[in-house]
Amino acid sequence: MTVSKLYDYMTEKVVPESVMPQNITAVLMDDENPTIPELDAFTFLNRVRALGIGSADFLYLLKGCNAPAEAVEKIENNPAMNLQTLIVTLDGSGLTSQDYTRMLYTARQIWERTLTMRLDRVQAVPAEEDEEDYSYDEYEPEEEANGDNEEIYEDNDADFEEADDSHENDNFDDDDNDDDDDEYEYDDEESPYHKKMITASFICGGLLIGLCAAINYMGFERSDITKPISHFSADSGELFAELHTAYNNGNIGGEALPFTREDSVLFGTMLIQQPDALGSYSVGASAFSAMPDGITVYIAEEESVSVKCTIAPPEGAEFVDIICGEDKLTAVFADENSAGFTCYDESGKVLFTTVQMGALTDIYADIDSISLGTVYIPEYTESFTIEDTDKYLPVFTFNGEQHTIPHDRIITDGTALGCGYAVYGDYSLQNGEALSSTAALGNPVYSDAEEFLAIMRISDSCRLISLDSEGLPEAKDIGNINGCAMGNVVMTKLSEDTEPYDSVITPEEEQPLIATAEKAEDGTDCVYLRGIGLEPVSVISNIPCKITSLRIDDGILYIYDENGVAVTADIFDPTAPKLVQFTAANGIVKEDLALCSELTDKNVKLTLYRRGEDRAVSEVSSSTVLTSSTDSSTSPQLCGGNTMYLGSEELCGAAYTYFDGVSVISEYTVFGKTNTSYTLFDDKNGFTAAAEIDGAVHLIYGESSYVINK
Amino acid sequence: MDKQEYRELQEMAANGGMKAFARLYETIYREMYYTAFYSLANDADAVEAVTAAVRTTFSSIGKLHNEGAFRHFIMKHLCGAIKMKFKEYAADGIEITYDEKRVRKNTDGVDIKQELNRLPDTERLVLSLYVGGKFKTDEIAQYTGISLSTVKKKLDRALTAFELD
Repeated sequence: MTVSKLYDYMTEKVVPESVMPQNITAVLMDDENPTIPELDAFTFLNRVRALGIGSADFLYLLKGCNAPAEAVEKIENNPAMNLQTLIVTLDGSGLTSQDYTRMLYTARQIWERTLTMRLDRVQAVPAEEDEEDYSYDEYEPEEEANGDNEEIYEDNDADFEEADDSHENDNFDDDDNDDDDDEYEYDDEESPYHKKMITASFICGGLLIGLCAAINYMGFERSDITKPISHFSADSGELFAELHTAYNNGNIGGEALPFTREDSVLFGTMLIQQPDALGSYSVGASAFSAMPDGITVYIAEEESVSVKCTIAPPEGAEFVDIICGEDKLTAVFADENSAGFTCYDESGKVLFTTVQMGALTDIYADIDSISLGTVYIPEYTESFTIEDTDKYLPVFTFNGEQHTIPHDRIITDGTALGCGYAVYGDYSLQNGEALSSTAALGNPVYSDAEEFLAIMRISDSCRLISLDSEGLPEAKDIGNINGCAMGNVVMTKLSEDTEPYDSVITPEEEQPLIATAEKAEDGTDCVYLRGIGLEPVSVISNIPCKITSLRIDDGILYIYDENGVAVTADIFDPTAPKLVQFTAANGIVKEDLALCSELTDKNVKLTLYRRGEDRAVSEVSSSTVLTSSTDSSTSPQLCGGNTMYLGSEELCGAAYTYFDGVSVISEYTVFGKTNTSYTLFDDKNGFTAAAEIDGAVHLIYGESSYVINK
Repeated sequence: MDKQEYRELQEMAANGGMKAFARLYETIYREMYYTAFYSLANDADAVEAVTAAVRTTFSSIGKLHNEGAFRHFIMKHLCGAIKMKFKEYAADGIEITYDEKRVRKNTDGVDIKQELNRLPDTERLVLSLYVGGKFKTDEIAQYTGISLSTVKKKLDRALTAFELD
């Protein structure tokens, strides 16, 4: 059965008449308590801003609406007025919800006509019609197509033209003049104009040509905003203008927090450091042995193996993670400026490649998708205009074809504190296509991949930006951070929310949890755990190390310093995190089993552990190999992570080399039913991998192998 | 409907324009109804959930700040209303059963009626959004307030139950 068949079946059901669109107004009118939303200063300003109305138009609106002169004068005389002051000024001006509605109506007309006005030339009060023409009643949609409304539009045009005539030097630039940019002179840096007319160009080294960006957007400076409003940008012009301001102010930014590999796993009370090698994987009738600098593909031939091909990462990049599916393998790679993934079939043939620009900060993979978090600073090495969105918006490439993240998925808050983006991209592992993308403009330091979470630096502190349950941006300012991680944990102590629908999220549901490493007042490092709404739910303080990064995995918080994992904490109950004391070991983990190795000057000890309840770890079996070497320079060495095989208690093992005084011995010890050792003498490479190929486990050396589960 | 039209209609609806609201609603009413009906298995309750979502959305549409948000907004309210129904059912000890005659006994070897009855509430809601509403998993996560990874898991289980490809 297919999804489309079930859909066809479901949609055979006839939608009842009562909820058909033509009858829905009856539902609304039947509402016993209909509430018509009222505009306030905050909402009004946001909507005007979304329309791209500049400072001149804004003052024009205020004057045209007969706003109290005192308020208009105050705004006019304070072009650097911040948003909060603006809201307070409007709130105290006596303007009513009806006034805001009327002004917004006019603003929309200005926006529709893309009219452009000069601040220093606007003197006329535009609306000569009776105010009733702009009233809420006249704005009923039922009348939008009738002649009355058409008249209102016509009248407004007439007003603008009249004003144009009354001022000799192009007070207004209407549609007819849109294509006549050459004649349009910008004789005043403060001149506002519509974003569509922006033709500014950036040039390498900061030289700017054809500067004409709407900098003092809305008539107030972003840097003074004490509580900026994060929102999806209304159009690419808004981003362009903000980039321009940031670039001119020298705010470039983009110092990314380092990507943290899942290199250590807390196994009971053991912290198992996994090898740098990326592991061996079985795909169909092939095996892939992955290292950061390349992947070797093996195929089985009778009881031996042959190398099908070797795969190198893109130039300058290295592989950082592998995702293995039933019929294909996905290798994630990264360099300083980009991250991406390539999918291979079982023969090693490339199926598709997707690359997301920016320094990698996080990876998250699910059953059928992979998400990347990057910090991206466009190069800004050549001139571009507002139309060249691929030059200044975040981009990704799919099979060599470049795509730009749309402006309405890019969050900005108007502070112009940087020219970079925290980018989140979710991609299909089936075909590599983008499933969803979100980015935030500013000075990014981190972008999470599990869900969208951006960290932007603002002077000496940071701002967290995420999406709320409605998919709208929300932001919270916190201290300066030096690490961040996000993970899903089971929130066992969720309190009921006042919103009826949110409260239905049952306590056992997984919920996103964010950890941020910050400085406490006493200068020590601490980690805040934050839940919904970015509010802290608990803090782990007095951490005795300088935190470099964080990682959340399976309910465990890993706190890193420059030497690796320094502290681990159980955060299954994020309101009461518990530090977990651990002993360090080297090895690999698979579900509830761990195969660990311990090397001394004279012997190799391999031990298989099983994890039980309450962090109890028990030893299943072990093997110690005594070597005869007495020279510490030839002490035994493990052959690497790709030679460790951990299938089950019955079948696992690892390879190592040592010098027995005569020869270099490469030996593979197998645990479980066979308990056998396989030895190579003076083999240059020794065992290079262990992998399952077509159901048989091969211990690979050169282009030969031992099959250990015949 | 392009973005400008969306923006205008939202603006009008925010100022009380019911016809403008109906135009917006027209773009999503089928998805809403099928989501509600296949989540609740009851026509009357599905209509009630849809109308509740419509009323709540209309009264708070002024909160919307961009043109793409209407669908998210109304679906969020619909999912809230459906979940409230789930709660009522649980409190009253009502089990959801599809007893409509039109529910075919067997399609491609899958007993749809039995499988729908067997699914837990949240999985049925996620499946209804995915199949009946044709929403993507990230949209479902936003509408339901469930994390994306949980949505994917629940959807995977539901699709497996229906042996869907």
